[in-house]
Amino acid sequence: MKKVAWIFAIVFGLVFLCATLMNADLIGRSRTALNRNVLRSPTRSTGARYHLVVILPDSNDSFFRGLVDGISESAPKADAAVQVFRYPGTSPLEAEPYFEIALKAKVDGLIMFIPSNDRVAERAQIAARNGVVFIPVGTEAPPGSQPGFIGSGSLRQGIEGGRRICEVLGSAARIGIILPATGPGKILDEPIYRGLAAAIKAFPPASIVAAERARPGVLSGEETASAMVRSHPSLNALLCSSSSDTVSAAQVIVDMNKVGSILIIGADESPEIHRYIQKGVVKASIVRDSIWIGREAVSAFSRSKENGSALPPVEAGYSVSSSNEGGR
Amino acid sequence: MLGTVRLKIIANCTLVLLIVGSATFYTGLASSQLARSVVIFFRDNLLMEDLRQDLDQTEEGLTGYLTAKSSDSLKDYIRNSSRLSEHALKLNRAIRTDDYLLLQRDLAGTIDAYLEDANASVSAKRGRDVKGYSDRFELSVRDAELSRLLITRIEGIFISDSLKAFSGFNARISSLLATNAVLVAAATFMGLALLVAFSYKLTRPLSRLAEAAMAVGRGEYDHELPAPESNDEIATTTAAFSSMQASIRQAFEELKSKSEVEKRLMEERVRVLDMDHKLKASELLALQTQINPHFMFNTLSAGMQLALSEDAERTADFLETLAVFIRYALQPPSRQVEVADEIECVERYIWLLRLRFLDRFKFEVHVDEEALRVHTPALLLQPLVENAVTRGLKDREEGGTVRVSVRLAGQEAILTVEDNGDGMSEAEIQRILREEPGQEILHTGGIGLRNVIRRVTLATNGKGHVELISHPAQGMSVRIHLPVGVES
Repeated sequence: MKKVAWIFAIVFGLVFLCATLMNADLIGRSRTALNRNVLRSPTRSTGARYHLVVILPDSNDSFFRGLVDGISESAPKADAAVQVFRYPGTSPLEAEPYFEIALKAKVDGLIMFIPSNDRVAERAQIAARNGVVFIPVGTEAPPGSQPGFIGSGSLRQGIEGGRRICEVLGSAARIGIILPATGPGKILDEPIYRGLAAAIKAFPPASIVAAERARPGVLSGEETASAMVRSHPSLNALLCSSSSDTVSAAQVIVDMNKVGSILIIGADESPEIHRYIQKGVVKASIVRDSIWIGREAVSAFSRSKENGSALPPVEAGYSVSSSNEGGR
Repeated sequence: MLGTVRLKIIANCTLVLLIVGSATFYTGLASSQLARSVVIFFRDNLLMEDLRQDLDQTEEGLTGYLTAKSSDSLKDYIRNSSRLSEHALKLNRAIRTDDYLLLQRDLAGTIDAYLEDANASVSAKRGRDVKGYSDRFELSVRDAELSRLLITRIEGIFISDSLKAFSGFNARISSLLATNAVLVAAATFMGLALLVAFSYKLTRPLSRLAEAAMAVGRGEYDHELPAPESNDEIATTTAAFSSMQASIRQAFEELKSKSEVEKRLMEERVRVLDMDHKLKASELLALQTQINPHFMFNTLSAGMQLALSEDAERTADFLETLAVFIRYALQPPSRQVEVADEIECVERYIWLLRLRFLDRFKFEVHVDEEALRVHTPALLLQPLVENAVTRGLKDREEGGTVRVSVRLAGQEAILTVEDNGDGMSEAEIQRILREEPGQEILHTGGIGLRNVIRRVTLATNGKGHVELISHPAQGMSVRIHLPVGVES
C-alpha cells in the first residue's frame, strides 16, 4: 500500500507539473495574444526618429501594394515609423482629413498619392508651412507639380503598350483602353492615353476604338471590359492601366471565349497576371516599379530632412513581363 | 526536538498543504493576471470614450460661451477642456513603429490643435474680435471632427484587435480551465498520496511494536523487533520495549535455572533422605540382628566350651573364630577401624570359608606394613571377599582365586579385592554405580557391593571412591581408594 501510495504521489506529481507548465504556457500565450493585439505599450514597441504618414487610395491594386512595400522596406533605414492612411478610391476628397490630421499631428513627413488632377502644389505649400516634408507620388505628375514628385510615367506606359500591340497587330489594331479610376476627368488628357495614341500613329489605320475609365471597385474592371468588347465588335486589343483591370479584362476575354482574338496588354504584376501570361491570355504586362517609387519617396524624405533640398520630378520607369521576355 | 513524531507530522502536513496551497496560489495568481489583462484590455478603450465625452462637453461649453458668453458656459468649457487636456496627456506622443500608437499620437496632435484653436477663439471672443473668434472656432470644430475621426478609427482598430485578441484568448480559455482543474485535482491527489505514504512510514514502527506486544502476550518472548530507522519517540519506545523484552527473557531464564537448581536440590535431598532412610533401616536391621547375635555369640562361646570339654579342638577353634567374626561384624558398620582390623576380619572369614570349601578356592592376602595403621570404615573387605566367592567364583569348581591386598599410593590407601571369576558386565557395573533404586545387590548375612560404595563415599565425604574393573570371564577387581587420615 505504501509503495502504491508513492507511485500515486509520483504520478500525480508529474501530472501536477505538466498541468502547471501547460497552464503557464496557455496563460503566457493568452497574454501574448492580448499584448500583441491590444495591450500595446510605448515602451514595448520600437521607437523611431521620424513620423512618416502615407496617404493612399484604398485599392487592392498591386501598384499600391508595391508602393507601401517599398516605403515600409526603406523606412527603418530612414529611422522612420510609417503610418498608412487609406481613403476610399471613389472619392479623392476623403484623403483630405488625413492630410489635415498629418499636419495637425505635426508629423515629420507625408508621402501622398496624388491623382493627376490633384492640387498638389497647394498641398506642398501648406505642408511646408506646417513644417512637414511633403513627398507626392503617383502615376503622372499633375500640372504645376512641385519638385519632388515621384511617378511611374504612365505616358511611357501608354507608348510601350501601343508599341507592343502594334508589333502583333500592326495597322489592324483596334484598341480599347481601360483608364485609371482616378484621373483629371478628360480621357484625352490621360498620359497613358496620350502615350498609346502617340505609339499607334506609326501604324495607320490602327486606332483606339474605345477608352473607358474604370469605376472604383473590385468588379468595375470586368464591367468596363465586358461593355467595351460588346459595344465594339471590331476591338482586337485591350490596354489596361492597373493590375486589377488586367485580371478583370483577362477573365472577361476567357469568359467570352475571345482568347487569341483579343490581345491584352496588362499593367503591373500579380500571381494571377503571371498565370494569364503563361496561359497566353495576356500578351504582356507593363510593370510600373512602385516598390522603387516607395523606396525613392522615403529616400527623398530623408534627403529633405537632412539638407532641406527638393529634387526634380522623377519617373520610376517600367519593365515588361511576358512569357518570352522581360526588361526595363 | 529534531526527529520527533510531532515534528514529522507537522512537516508532512506542511508539505501537503504547501503542494495544495501552491496549486491554489498559482491558479489564483493566474486568474488575477488574466483579470488584470482584461482590465488593461478595456483601459485604452475607456480612455477613448472619455476623450470623446470630454471633446463633446468642451465643444458644447465653447459653443455656449461663444453664443451666449455666459460665465457658466466658460466655466464648463474651462473645466471640460482641462479634463480633455488631462486625458490627452495619457495618449502616446512618442514616435513608435506601431500603427495604433501612431494614431494616438495623431489624436494627441489634433486635440492639442483643438484646444489651441478653442482657447484662441475664447480669447478672441473676450477681445471682441468677431472674425478672429469665428475663424478659430471653425478651425476648432474641424479639429474636433478630425479628433472624432481618429477616435473612431482607434476604436475600430481596438475592436478589430480586441476581437483577434479575444479569439486567441478564447481559444485557450477552455484548455486553461481544464488545466486549472487538472492542476488542482493533481495537487490534491498528490497531497493525499503523500499523506498516505508518510502515514505508513510513520506508523510502520508502531505496527511492528503492536505485533511484538501481541507476540509477547502470546508468550513469544523471542519475537525480534527490527532496529529503529529513525530517532524519535517511537524509536525510544521500541528500544524500551526491546529492553523490557530482553529483561523478561532474562528473568525467565534465571527463573528456569533456579527451578532446575531447586529441582536438583530437591532430588538430592530426596536421595539423601532415602539414603538416611536406608541407613536407618540397615542400622535397625543391624540392631535386630544384634539381639540374636549376642545370643548367638554366647551360644557359640558355650559351644566352644563344650567342644573343649569333649576334646574337639577343631570344632572349638571353629566356634571361637566364628564367634569373634560375628562379634566384629555385628558392631556398627559406620565405625572407623584400622586396616589391620579389617585384614584380621578378612582372614578369619577366609579361615571359615576354607573350612567350608576346603581347597576349592585359593585366597591370597598381601598388606603393606605401613598401610596397617590406616583408618578405614569397618567391614569393607569382608563383603567384597564374600561377593567374589558367592558371585564371581560361584560357578568355579576349582582354580578360583581371591586376592586381597592393601597398599599405600601417595596420599591414599588402595584396598583391592580381585578374583578370576566370571566378572561383571559393563551394564551391571553402571547400574551399581548409578545406584538405581531397587537394584541393590545384597547378599545373605552381609552388606553388598553397593553398600560398600555408598559407605566409602559417605565416610570420606566424597573424597574416596570405589573402582570396579571387570574383565568378563576373566575376573573382577574392586579397588577402594581411601584418602590417608580421613576420619568419619
